[in-house]
Amino acid sequence: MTGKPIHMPRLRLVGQAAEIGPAVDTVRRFALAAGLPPESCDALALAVDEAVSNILRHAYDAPVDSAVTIDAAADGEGIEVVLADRGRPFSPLDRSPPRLEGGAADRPVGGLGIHLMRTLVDRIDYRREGDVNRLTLSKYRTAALAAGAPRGEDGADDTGA
Amino acid sequence: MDQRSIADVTVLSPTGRIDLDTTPPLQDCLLPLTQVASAKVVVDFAGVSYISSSGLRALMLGAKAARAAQGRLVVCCLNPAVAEIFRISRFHLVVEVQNDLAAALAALSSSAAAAYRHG
Repeated sequence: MTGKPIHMPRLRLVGQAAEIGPAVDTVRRFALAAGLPPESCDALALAVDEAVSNILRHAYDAPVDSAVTIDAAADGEGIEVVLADRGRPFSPLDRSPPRLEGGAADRPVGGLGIHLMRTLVDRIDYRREGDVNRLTLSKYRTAALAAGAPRGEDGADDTGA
Repeated sequence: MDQRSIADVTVLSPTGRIDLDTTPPLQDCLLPLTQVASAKVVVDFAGVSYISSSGLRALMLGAKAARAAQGRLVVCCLNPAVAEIFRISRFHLVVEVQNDLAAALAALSSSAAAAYRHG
């Protein structure tokens, strides 16, 4: 990131599905306030929705006191949203894309959430740090930056993992 | 969930966000309707601001059920944000998309289209 970043106050979700809408709206408003184009804010909001939904559906076997935290920071380059959870290790980068061709009869029911997340942001990084999954979703201000930036799959290499 | 019949077509009109939280009531309405033999169902998105993969999953299940029952499922009135999600997901291959309710009804049933025209 470049320039002095501004930060969104941390969001903490206990894990109710009803928390997703307000949390996603908060991230979207932060992105708008940071000056990203509205369509980029919409895309980022849905990517965050998919990431949170995935955590709430799959990360935990039993209810927890705190399911996921969401931090966001914006600077001259764009926005980074970091989701952290203590659920089972899960990297969305390991999933192969779902079949997108064919009609209802030919396509699987699931798998679209991760596809949407990966399509809607410019970069995804995943790290397992101790017992924490840390997923970073980045959206750049300009298409030129996005086009020249490494994709999540390649970017994962710089985590030192 | 607003549900109405126009001639032989059933129209569902969800509102607001369709996400992990709000998909279950939509799915609970949609699936039984699409499982009826030869059913004609429209999901009118005019009041929908937003859809996540949870909502797409419900539509996929509805489309599969409709196909199995020789019925049809049509959606209409997608706002630009929802239309973009359909495009990325290639969902126009899964459900038939029409611009507005009149077109959706006309695609399914001439009697429903006529009933809608005459208010």
